[in-house]
Amino acid sequence: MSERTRIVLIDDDRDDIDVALRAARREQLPVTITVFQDSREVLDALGVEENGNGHGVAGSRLRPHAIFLDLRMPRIDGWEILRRLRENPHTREIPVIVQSWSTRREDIERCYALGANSFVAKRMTPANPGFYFADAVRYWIQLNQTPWSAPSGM
Amino acid sequence: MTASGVARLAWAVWIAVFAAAIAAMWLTPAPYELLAVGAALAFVLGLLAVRLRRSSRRASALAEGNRTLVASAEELRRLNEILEARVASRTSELETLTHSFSHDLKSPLGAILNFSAILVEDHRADLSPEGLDVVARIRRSAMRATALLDGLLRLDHARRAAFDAQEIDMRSLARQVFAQVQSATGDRGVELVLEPMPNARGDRLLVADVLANLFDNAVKFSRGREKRCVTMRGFLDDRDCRYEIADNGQGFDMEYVDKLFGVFERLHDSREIPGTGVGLALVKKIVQRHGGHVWAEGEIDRGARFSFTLPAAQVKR
Repeated sequence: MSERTRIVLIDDDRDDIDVALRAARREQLPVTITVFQDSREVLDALGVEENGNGHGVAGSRLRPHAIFLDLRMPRIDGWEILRRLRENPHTREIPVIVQSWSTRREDIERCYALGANSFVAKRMTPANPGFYFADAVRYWIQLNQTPWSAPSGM
Repeated sequence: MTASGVARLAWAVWIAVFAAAIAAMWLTPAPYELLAVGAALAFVLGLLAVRLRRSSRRASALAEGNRTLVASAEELRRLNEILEARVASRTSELETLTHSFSHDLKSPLGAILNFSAILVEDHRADLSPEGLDVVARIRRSAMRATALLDGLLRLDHARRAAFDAQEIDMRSLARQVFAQVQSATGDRGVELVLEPMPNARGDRLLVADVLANLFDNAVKFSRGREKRCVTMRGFLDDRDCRYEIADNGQGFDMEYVDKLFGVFERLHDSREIPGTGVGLALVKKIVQRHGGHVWAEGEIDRGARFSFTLPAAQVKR
């Protein structure tokens, strides 16, 4: 693979970000991770405006292969980000993996109803912190096939 | 005719008779006997009228009292309704609060566990043996808090989970759940004896949780003993099924039986026997959601017996 796979990680919690980045580093995942702690910033960077407007990722330098999204964010929360990503024709098909400490049924249901591709529970483990992020990245980047990803098995 | 109406009529009659008697005396020289009879009649009528008047007054006072009573009973019922609605709304508020709190607490607890793990993994060389021990203690406490939180969430789930009532083949469910407990605990040293038992009606997943907790206890509290065995049997009592799960483990002191089903109540040191004190509270909650009840009997060193009722799949004829 000449071009590294690009991932956008959206989370307002610096601790959770650091744990995720450390896990990715340790597992030497072949990805470039761009982190956003602010909802407004990420929506701008992805070219997503309200009501399905905005040029979307086509004109943005980001063009992520997958978006990892936290739910509890100040002002514009994860669900709202998800809704806007799904509303916009240019970001509609990017896999969105929600990551949250909450495993409330209502929270999970709402994510899938809004079009999330996956829901991963952030979890505390006796060892290997952040393994959930590394495992999810591996699946979505190496196993999952999207219309625009390079054909696999070659 | 009402009592007061009768009294008024009696008065009128009395006055009329009296007036007639006076008039008769005045107008005609009447025979004295007639006059005496008239006077007696008037006297009796008068007495009657006084009586009637008194009883009518009492009757109306009673009716008044009755009205007040009915009104205050109505008021009481209304107040009760308001109170109940308030309790229900406060309870649900509290439940929602517990629910979101428990989920929110996971994040900071997770950070403690994650970063203490990173500290040990990445900076082991910088830590003295004492330092490592301190970190280990912090982690143990955080793990314990995590387990407690997990227990709270499980209780919350038992309270809120969707309820799908269906007929449950308790024998096959028991066999299945017991196998799960064996593989989860990695302890296959307990024999399960299933005696005949009727089918229940309830939510299969929730009832499975009841069995899992009771079997898990039986396995846990018999560890290190000879010929460990757990027996389950069931009876059909009228509309309810009663099930018993008995073990030959270390039992418990009946003096503390009231504490057994309380949340976070434990009769054993958590260093001796692991647990958070949520299992039996969970069992109670689930059985209660089915409209049943649960109780326990035990004796130190002679095992424990847990009984619970569930609605029967078929009502006994």
